[in-house]
Amino acid sequence: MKKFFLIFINLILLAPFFVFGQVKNQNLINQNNSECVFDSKIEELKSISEDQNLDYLIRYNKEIELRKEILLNIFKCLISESKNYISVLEKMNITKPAVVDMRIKLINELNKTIDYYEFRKAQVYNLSLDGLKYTAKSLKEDRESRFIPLNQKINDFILWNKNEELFNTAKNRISDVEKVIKIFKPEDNQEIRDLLNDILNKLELALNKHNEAWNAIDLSTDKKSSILIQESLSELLNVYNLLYDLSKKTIALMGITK
Amino acid sequence: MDILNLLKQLKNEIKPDKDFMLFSKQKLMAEFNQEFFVINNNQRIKNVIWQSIYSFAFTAFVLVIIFGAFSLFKNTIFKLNVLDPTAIKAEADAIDFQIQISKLIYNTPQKSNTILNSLLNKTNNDLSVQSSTNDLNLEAENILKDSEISTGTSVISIDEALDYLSE
Repeated sequence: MKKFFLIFINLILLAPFFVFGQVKNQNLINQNNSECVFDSKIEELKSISEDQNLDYLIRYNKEIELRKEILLNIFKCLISESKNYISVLEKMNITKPAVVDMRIKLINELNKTIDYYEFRKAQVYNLSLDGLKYTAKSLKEDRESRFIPLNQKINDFILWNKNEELFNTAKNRISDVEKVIKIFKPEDNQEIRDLLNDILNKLELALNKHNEAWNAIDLSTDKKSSILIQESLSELLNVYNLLYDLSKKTIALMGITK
Repeated sequence: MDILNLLKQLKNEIKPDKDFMLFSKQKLMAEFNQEFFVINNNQRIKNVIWQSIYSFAFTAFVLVIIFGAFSLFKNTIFKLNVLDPTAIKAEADAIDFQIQISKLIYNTPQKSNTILNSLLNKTNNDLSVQSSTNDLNLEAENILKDSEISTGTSVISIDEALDYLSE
């Protein structure tokens, strides 16, 4: 009886953690729901501004109201996008010091971006028609020069880190395969030896591309990091195709059956 | 009182007979191992200490050999599973999945935020269960669909909306 009572108490105490966990995930997926959809409001703005039958003053006021609403939604969408990026970056499991530093740098940039958006958003309420048009134009220019490149860099950073996990797994597996092959000496077989050398060379190539991708992210070199990230993955996939062949051949040679 | 004084006198005077003392000591010594009890013999103690040290060292050496051999054995025989083709294929599938996701992110940058969210919600376990490239493509498609559902199918992007608002 006492045991059941204790289990019941534990369940009650732990239940909130499970509930909060679920709610948090949902929030991440749903936060972009209504703010980032502009189609209907833009269409409404187009039809209002083209409607010559409407009284000028009514049309003018309606237009300003709609422009403010759309611009506010744009700022809200951009703020939640930046906060989402911060959340994704904070969740990543990173150990290398250079990568940790880059994460801190990116999060700082995102915080500055959020401050910029909040500041501009607060100004929207009091703007005239010309002020609203100017704000939209300058926001577009700032996005092109600063914010879109920052988002691209963050995408590259996140993808590169996922690649890093895949590369570490590959390195460990290939190193273990090398050891096992050396001990059982099917390396006397020319085909096995050649395959293994091919794998090691291709892995080095893939790793070089992967490291080049990091330099492109860190130092913003000429070669695009997105291209290098994708190329390094393709090379790694080639390595695994060879590794699969090697495993089949080695197992056949050693006469191991499942 | 006479008795007390007599006892005090006797205390100083009564001693064991020396010859008998030697005799009984020899008899006792014959019963036990002499070397253990000869505490004044430093040479014997040094031998005992060195013997202890040598035996500990030898035991430690044997243990190291045994554990070393065992870990070598473990690393070779037990690591044969690194050649398991199924495991290798699963890792290759994870790489292929990552290729699909990176293509999605680079081709639809406006959805990258939500694609990354959906990706984070999938655990690594889900990815390793995939058995074919077709399944992976489907998984990547599902992630894109999830991202569309969460943002709504907005045809007009932020930049297009800003372009219109600038006019």
